[in-house]
Amino acid sequence: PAPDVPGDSTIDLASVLSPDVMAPILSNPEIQQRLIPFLPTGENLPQTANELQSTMSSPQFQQAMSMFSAALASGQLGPLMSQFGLPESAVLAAGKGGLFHEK
Amino acid sequence: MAGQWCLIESDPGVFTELLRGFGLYSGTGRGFAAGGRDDRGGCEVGGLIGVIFGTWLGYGGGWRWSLNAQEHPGLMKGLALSNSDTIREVHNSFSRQQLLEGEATPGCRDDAFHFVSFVPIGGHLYELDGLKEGPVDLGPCELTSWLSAVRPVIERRIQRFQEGEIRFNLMAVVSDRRLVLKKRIEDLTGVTMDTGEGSAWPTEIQSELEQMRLQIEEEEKKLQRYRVECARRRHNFLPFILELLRMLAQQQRLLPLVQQVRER
Repeated sequence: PAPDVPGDSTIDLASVLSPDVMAPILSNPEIQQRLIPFLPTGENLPQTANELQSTMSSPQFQQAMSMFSAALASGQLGPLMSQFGLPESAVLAAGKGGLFHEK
Repeated sequence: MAGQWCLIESDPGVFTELLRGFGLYSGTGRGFAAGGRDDRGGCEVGGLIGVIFGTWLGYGGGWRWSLNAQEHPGLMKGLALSNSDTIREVHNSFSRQQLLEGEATPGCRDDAFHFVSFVPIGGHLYELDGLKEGPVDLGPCELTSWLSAVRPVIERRIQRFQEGEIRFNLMAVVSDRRLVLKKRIEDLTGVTMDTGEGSAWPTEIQSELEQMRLQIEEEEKKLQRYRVECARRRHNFLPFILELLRMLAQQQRLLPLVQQVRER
């Protein structure tokens, strides 16, 4: 069913977690260690903190985040979020079709 | 049964990798591709094949294949193309990221490109367009001056896109710069080979050689960048994003960050 969400109530995660916002967060080695395993792998794709930074700033990653936001806003990701152990408030919000609504 | 074709992005890096995938990585094709938005999403494929054909044809192969396609009714041509496993596999390896099965991708239709290519073959300029029945003969042209023959055609096309507010981009299929440069280095060093060691070459030749080596390095870096971009395009970032959100939520940072954006 199409969720009844006003256009301005959704937020694009790509703008929430912009490279500027992420830069200080990504300087934490613990965070680096947790994210690096999820980077693309392959020839000339080092699993390093630098690569993490540059991947997150890339248009390809930004696009993935925007697509994720859109899917979240449409209510498709609720079950998935809880399966991945995301907090209940976020899951509820996602299930309702809103992105991180305060309610 | 025809297989599924995915949408790909109109980007020089994607095209370079596509041609590599078809075994045309040292492409000597000389084609032009003008891509314009078209709401018949799937039709991009035919035109894209035109671009690849153009490259192929530049090689002197595949012409008969293309003429055969002309004899097919439109639908048959489409099927003939989608039944080509190699072409489909390489094409689909550039699938835009799909986070979920059956996911509605917003803006997908807007991003559907339709490709038209222009190639000089056998003394004539041809237009290859996936939405047309076959190659369109745009008249005679010399291989050496075909760029000036195609320019007005492309300019007229661009004019039309601008009036209709349609996004387009223009790409050229060119020789692998590295091969051109390596050939020139060979030519240059060949001529002066009788002087023996490289250090014995005249200063101006030495500096020219140095220039060309730097250009080759630049070219390698560009190709490397294309490869990294393509790996990112193909990667499924869903697990990454979920881990990122989980981590930020655990640290109580996620909602404040969302709040910040809301208040802007």
